[in-house]
This record gives sequence, C-alpha cells and structure tokens, in this order.
Amino acid sequence: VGTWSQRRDLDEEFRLFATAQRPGLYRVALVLTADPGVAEDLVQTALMRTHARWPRLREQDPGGYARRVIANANVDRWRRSRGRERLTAQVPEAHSVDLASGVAERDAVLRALRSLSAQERRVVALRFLDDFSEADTARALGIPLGTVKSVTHRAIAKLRENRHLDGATEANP
Amino acid sequence: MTDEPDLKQSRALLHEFDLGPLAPLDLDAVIRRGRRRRRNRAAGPWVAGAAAVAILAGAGVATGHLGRSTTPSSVPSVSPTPTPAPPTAAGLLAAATTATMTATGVHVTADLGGGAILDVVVTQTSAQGTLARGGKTSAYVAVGDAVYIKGDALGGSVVQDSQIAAARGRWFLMTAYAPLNDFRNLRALAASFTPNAAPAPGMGEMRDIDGSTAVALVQTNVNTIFVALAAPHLPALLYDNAGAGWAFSGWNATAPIAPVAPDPADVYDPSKG
Repeated sequence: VGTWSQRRDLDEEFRLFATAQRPGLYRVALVLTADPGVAEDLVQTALMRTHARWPRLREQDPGGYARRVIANANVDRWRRSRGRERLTAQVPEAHSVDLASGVAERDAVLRALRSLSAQERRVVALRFLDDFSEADTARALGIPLGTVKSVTHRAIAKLRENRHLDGATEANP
Repeated sequence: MTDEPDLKQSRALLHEFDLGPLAPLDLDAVIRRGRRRRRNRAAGPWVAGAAAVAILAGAGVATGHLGRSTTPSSVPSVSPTPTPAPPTAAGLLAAATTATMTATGVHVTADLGGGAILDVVVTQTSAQGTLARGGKTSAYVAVGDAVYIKGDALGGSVVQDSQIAAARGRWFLMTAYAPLNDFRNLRALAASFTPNAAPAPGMGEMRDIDGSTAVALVQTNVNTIFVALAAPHLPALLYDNAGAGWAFSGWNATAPIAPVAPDPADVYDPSKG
C-alpha cells in the first residue's frame, strides 16, 4: 500500500485510533461477554481487522466498524461454544472480593452481566452503550421490535434486582 | 414496562463503571497481524487461480501449489521497517503546536467569554477580523505584537463608556487585554495551547469534526484540544477551562490578509486614559 512513508503515516494514524478507542471498545466487549479475558481477545481481533482495512476505513467510521467486528466475533464465539455456556439460577460468587470501590463495582457489574443471557447482553450493549433506539436495535440484531422491548425490560429487571449490583450502587452512588 | 429512571441508571452504570487496568496492548503485533490479513485477502484471487491451474495440471501438483500459495512465506515478505513509538498525548500536542506555528494561516472563531465572539484569520505575522458582542461589532486588527479594535463591541465591560467617548472613533490599542493577545499571530496562538503550569495532557475521546477524525488532548483544568488524527495533527477545536470553545478551520487555505497598523494619530490607548 503506497510508499513506505505513506504506510508509516497510516500506521501512526492507526496507533492513535487504537490507543484512543481501546477503552471504549473494551467496555463494549466486556458488556457483551462479561469476561475480561474474552473481551480483551475480541478487542484485539477488532483492532487487527480494522488495521487490515485501515486505508479505506480511516475516512469512514473505523470506530463503528471495530464495534461491529466485536459484536460479530462475539456471536461467532457464542455459536462455537453453544451448549457449553449455561445460565445458572445463582450468580457465581467471585473468587475474591477486593474492597477497593472501583474493583467492587466492576465485580458487581460483571456478575450482574453474567446473569444476563447472550441475547440480553447484545441488546443491552446496543441500547445503552451505542445508544441505539429500540427500532435500530431490532434492525441490527434481526429480531422483532417487540422482542427488543421485552428483552430490554427483562435485562433491566435483572440488573436492578441483582443484589451484588445493588450493593455496589449503594456503595458508589 | 421499564420506566425511564431505570433506563438512565442502567445506561449510566454501563457507561461509567471502572474498567480496571487494561493489560498492555502490543500494537506492533496487532499491526503485523492486520498487515498479514490484508495481504492474504489481497492474495485470495491469485490463490484461487493458482489452484484452478494446478487442478488441471494434476492433483499432486495442485496440492503443492495450493499449499504453498496459502502459506505466509509465499507472499512477498515485507522488509523490516523501524516501528514508530506509540503516540502519546504529549507528542500529539507538541506536533499540533509545531504545525500551528509553521502554518500559513487559519480561520478561528473563538468565544472569549462574556458573550464576546472573535472571528479572525490569523497568519504568521498578523491577524484580521471582527469582534462581536451584544449585537455590536468591532473591527479587529493585529500587527506585530499590537492588537487594535475599532468600535464599541467591548463597551461597558473591558472599555468604559467614558473611554469610548474619549476615543472619538479612533482605534483602541488593546494589547493590555490578555484574551485578545492569543490571536495576534500563529506563534501566539500556538503558545496559548499550553499555558504555563499546564499539566501533562491525556488522551481523550475521538470525534468527527468537519468530516475528519480528531482526538481530544485533555489538560485537566486548563483546556481540551481536539487535534486531527492525521498528521500533521492540526487543531480542530479547543475548549478552555470555562467550556468556551475555539473552532479552527481553513488551515493553510485562508484568504490572504495584509492588515496595516493604524496611524498612531488614529490610535487611543484606554490603559492610559
């Protein structure tokens, strides 16, 4: 792609993009997976694929593309592991609880997210992190509008009723 | 159904919960893998073509061709190139400052506070435009280190009514009024990005500004400057500590200006009277 200096400039741009966007992408991936390790892998995959298309994407919406890669890669991952992931009545206890407020809050949020189904997490990510409308969420996920409404309602009820999250939000208003 | 406060609370929680420390990201590895993926995608049709030819030639040969074609080693290797260090906010701010000082001109629209809006073209040695406030507009000229305005846009605040009367329509020498000094020339403009005792900048959000992607450089409690993602990282927007904004446009493409300093006889210095 072009001369070495052109490629170097493109790479520098991409480094800027990746450095600035990584926390936001990680947040999306974390909400989708509730698993920090998997979320990191999804972000790296998204950045790698974004870099592969950077010469064309750089003047479009590279952040949006990276988010779509995360969402699609997570669906692929979920399909591959379907049958191995099971919802449980009881949210698993954390191995250790750090009393530092940020860690406690993160722990509570992750446990609350783990209580959601994969579909509920996808809807929550689009509705709350990407600020999609219900109609846009339905289009993006290819599900009926009514399903988006009911899934959103159910997910929020789960988040609200999660005792771990209640404790965290009370501790960190 | 779900009520609005729950939606807001959930949205705020998911947007703001502490992500914790992020593991170091090996951007060099990401870029290497991205390049490899790009090359493999580009090589796709060649691979298919080679396979078709090989199938015609014979199954044994086909296997060999296809196998070699899909291995990275069959793709012309990229010669090792020095890898630039990851960009830092401080590095970007320095680049933006240098780019500003070496530009030929820029159009700036700046909120100076108190309802005063400055609309100027700033070049290497001068500036020219208008200063508007409360429905009044004054001409603005900067030549060398001196700043002049003509009109009563700053009347009742920076300039007293009695001084306006005393000026009798002459230019006001405004060099003692600090907010205008940042717009004398590009060097002064660049210097205003990093005032004394400004903290080290941090990288903030990215935003599309006038069709280009810009990244925020945050100097806590001082200002936030959005600079272009693409080199040479020219500033696009600046918010000061009070939230007032300066918008930059037309870098190196502004209409030429050639302001002339007013005749001393046509200048009134309010700081002396």
